[in-house]
Amino acid sequence: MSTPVCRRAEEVRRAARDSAWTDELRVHVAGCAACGEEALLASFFAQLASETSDLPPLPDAGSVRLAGLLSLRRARAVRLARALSIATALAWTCGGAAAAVVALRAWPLPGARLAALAGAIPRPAVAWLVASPGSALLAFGAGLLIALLAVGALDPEPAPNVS
Amino acid sequence: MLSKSLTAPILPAAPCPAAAAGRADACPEEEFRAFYDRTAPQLRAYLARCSGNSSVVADLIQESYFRLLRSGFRGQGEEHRKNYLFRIATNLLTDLFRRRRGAESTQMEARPVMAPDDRLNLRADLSAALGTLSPRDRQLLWLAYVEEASHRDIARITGLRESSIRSMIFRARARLAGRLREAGFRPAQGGKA
Repeated sequence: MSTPVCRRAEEVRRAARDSAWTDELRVHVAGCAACGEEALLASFFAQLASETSDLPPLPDAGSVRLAGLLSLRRARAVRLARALSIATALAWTCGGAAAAVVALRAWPLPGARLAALAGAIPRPAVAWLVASPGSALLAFGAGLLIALLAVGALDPEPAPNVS
Repeated sequence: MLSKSLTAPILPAAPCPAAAAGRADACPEEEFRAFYDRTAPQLRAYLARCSGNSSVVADLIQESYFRLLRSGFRGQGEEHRKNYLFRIATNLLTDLFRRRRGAESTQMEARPVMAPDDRLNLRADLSAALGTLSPRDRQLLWLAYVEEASHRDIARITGLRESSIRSMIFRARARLAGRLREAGFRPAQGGKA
């Protein structure tokens, strides 16, 4: 779209803003539609910008900064808490994995004991669970996954969004 | 719409160590106070005139500076930082208009065009004239005429394409000029010669 703008528009805008009109510029504005519009708007905005009596008082700079700092520290604490929960979940995962490895390497002994224990409980599923190291590991992994998901779901507050 | 994609072009690599820390406490109080004193009056006028509601201005100012502090943004100079501040404020205004549209369908936006016999001699009339425009037009014209921002800066602040700013301002200008003429507003051409 073409936008007809006079080359003296900037000059007119400055004159309207600073109330520094020359006779020659007044004559030009009277005969130039684009500059007439420019003068109208520049004058309007100059008046509007100079009128501050209806504006609310500014908040104190110190209190604005302090509120910002407090909120920032709160956001940091939330982030730290989240990192801690993730680290805790990871520690549990690593510990569990280590325990699983140990259990697998020495499976004959605990396997026999667990089988005996499972035999005492009238539940076929439990018996299946302890029947092989693979199924025990599978159940353990599912449990860890549920624990991790629970940690994620319990995260108290999302990370702050700075737009 | 006005979220991450629009903040991207205005966010260069932080040039100073304090900015790299990216935190509000990296901004010394004196520095913040000086920046605030220079920019807050302009931001207040922008928010008040573009929102058309003085009661929300203090909260918007507080939130704008808070977000600036939280971002740790320092920019390539004060002007760059100020543009970023206005960008934040513009996003807040957009959110405000969006909420209002749902709730009360914006008193200012719904205001009818002034009757031709109105006279714009009072401040309220000036504000009312601006209020007949859409929020976007108000922002564009305010940035162009009061802040004297370049088209590139206006594009960064409003999140619009730089190539469309010129024509958008042109159309907004024409609309406002029409309303002002209808209301009998005349530019003062007295002044000092």
